[in-house]
Amino acid sequence: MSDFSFWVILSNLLLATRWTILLSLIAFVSGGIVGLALLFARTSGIGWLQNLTKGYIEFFQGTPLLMQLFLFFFGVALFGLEVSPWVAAWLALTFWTSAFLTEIWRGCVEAIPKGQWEAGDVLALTYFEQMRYVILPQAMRIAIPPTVGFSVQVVKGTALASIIGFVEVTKAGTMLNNATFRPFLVYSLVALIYFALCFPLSYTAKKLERRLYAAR
Amino acid sequence: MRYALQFGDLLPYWHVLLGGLIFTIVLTLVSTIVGIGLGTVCASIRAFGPRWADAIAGAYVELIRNTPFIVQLFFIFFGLPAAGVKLSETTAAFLAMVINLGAYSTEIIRAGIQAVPKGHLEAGESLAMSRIEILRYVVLKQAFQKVYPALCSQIIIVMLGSSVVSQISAEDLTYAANYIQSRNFRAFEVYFVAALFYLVLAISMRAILRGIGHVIFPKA
Amino acid sequence: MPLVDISKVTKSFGPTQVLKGVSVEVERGDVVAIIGKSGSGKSTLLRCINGLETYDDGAITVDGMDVGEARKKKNLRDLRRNVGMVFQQFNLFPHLTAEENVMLAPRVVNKATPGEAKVLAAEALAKVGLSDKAGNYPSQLSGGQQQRVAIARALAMRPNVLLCDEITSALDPELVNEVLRVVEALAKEGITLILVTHEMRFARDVGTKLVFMHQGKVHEEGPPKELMAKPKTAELQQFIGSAH
Repeated sequence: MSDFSFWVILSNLLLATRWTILLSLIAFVSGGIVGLALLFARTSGIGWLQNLTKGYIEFFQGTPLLMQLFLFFFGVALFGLEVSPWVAAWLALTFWTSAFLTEIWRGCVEAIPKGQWEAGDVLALTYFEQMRYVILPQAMRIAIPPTVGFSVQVVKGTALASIIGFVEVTKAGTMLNNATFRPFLVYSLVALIYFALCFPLSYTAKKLERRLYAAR
Repeated sequence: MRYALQFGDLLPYWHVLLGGLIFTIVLTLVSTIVGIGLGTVCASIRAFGPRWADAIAGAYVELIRNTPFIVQLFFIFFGLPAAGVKLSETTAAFLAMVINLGAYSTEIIRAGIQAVPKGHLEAGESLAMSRIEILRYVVLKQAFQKVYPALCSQIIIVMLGSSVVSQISAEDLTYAANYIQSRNFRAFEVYFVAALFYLVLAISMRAILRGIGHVIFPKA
Repeated sequence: MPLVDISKVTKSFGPTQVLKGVSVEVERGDVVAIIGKSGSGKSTLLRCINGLETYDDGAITVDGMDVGEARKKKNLRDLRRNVGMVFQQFNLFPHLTAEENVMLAPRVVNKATPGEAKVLAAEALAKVGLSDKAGNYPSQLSGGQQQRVAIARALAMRPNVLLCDEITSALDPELVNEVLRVVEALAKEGITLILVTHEMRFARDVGTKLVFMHQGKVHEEGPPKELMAKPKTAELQQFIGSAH
């Protein structure tokens, strides 16, 4: 009887994991796109744009992700639009991710020695040409380990989407717990599933970082 | 459709928000002290202890860092009672935060320890200092100085993450916001104000921690 | 009209005045060696010529273009097509091969086709004696070779003036000569050079004009061989003495 429960629990959790993976991927990609735009805004040299970006980053980094989820969930409804937990979660995670990724990437751009900018300057390259041909190619190499590292945070972040009703693996776990009253088993399995998703990413990030700095 | 935001509806409940804020602050403060203590012990074990102890500490660190905080919280609050350990909401919240911060700070502090030049350790040994003495007087202070900014960042991250304890009905700022919005139906306004409270708290913590840093690590 | 005309230039970094009214004229084909103690303002002066640094007062014109105006209009592109620079730290682009380093600016700025750029690069690399290293990355080259690639990169833009900022100071002694020989060959070809350098023998043998800077001013100026044999001021005498 207990074995039967075990497999029911596990298979339900694994099915729900699809949504965790899907939300993580989509939020990470859209967050990355917004983050890249923010990077150019942040380093543009246009005063008001830079300040606006700084404020944006400060807000999304300085408030709990849970609050952001609630704000998008209830905020979008204010405009009379139908908001599903899916959309609210995707929006909140996108903006949250973009704030962190843009700061990571900015750090990588700033890590490029000033001499590279000067060499580009004296060859008469414009800012955009310098970014495109000299700075970003180098910055991207440095950016890969911390970006992969952050993807772990995104996967973990999707767990909060359960609170606004999005059915991913954490929510499935809560529902299964309410149905079977086996919290120890259920939440252990949930934890293991997250571990299985996140650990390979963490490990890869660490490996990439080691390889990057060994080559220098 | 509601165009007009009614922040005024929050006023009768300001003391609820305040109570939640205080809970969050106290929870964070106590968890930070204990959590960093735990992290220091684990980091020292990982850096200087026997291989098997390093492996156990390593497993703990990886487990916590690769699972969401909310799952850890649910496991402690819902899962442990099934194994006989029953905890109050506040205790569970506190425990979860300590374990969580403990894991992250272990890695941060361990990086700091590894950055201390080996020569310093050797100097201590040749001065007949015991391992504990070397750790205490030579290594840890330097390690902390080096990783202090990273540690402060992590503390603030954990403070923001504490909003999740509202889900097990620990009466923090988020719980207060949930309570208020269920009564006056001004969800967006309440959460917006709560978010601002968190933001102000985060900024204040950053400033205070930086100030503390200047006091305990005067520029050498 | 001189190719580069520096007139009464002053510059301060905050409270410290680094250039206190500097005037130098550089004719086409000149090889100007700027020498002086660290802090005398020589690198700053050089970096003012192509707009890497601003100056507070005075004027600098290169080939008729006013540098201050160009900077104000944020239009340094034409100036920098005309003025090349080689740095002490080489600053080669590590993710590009030697050839690609040299080809980048001609392609992007001068809109050369890949074919044209490749020819330019081959010429420039041949001139510095590194044709066989075209496909190598900077990390695979010695310091001297990297600096020579940096020179080729600057030359590929066919500048009228080449600025050299202590280009041998970061090199191991045995690698200095290969770079100096390249610069000497360029000088013989008639390229206008302005070098900040510590290499006294080079300044004396290859330079056509010596500028000794001291505390932000041009302290002495003239033909190198004369000045170094018979310095007019105690400061220059002391400087030459300590340099050997």
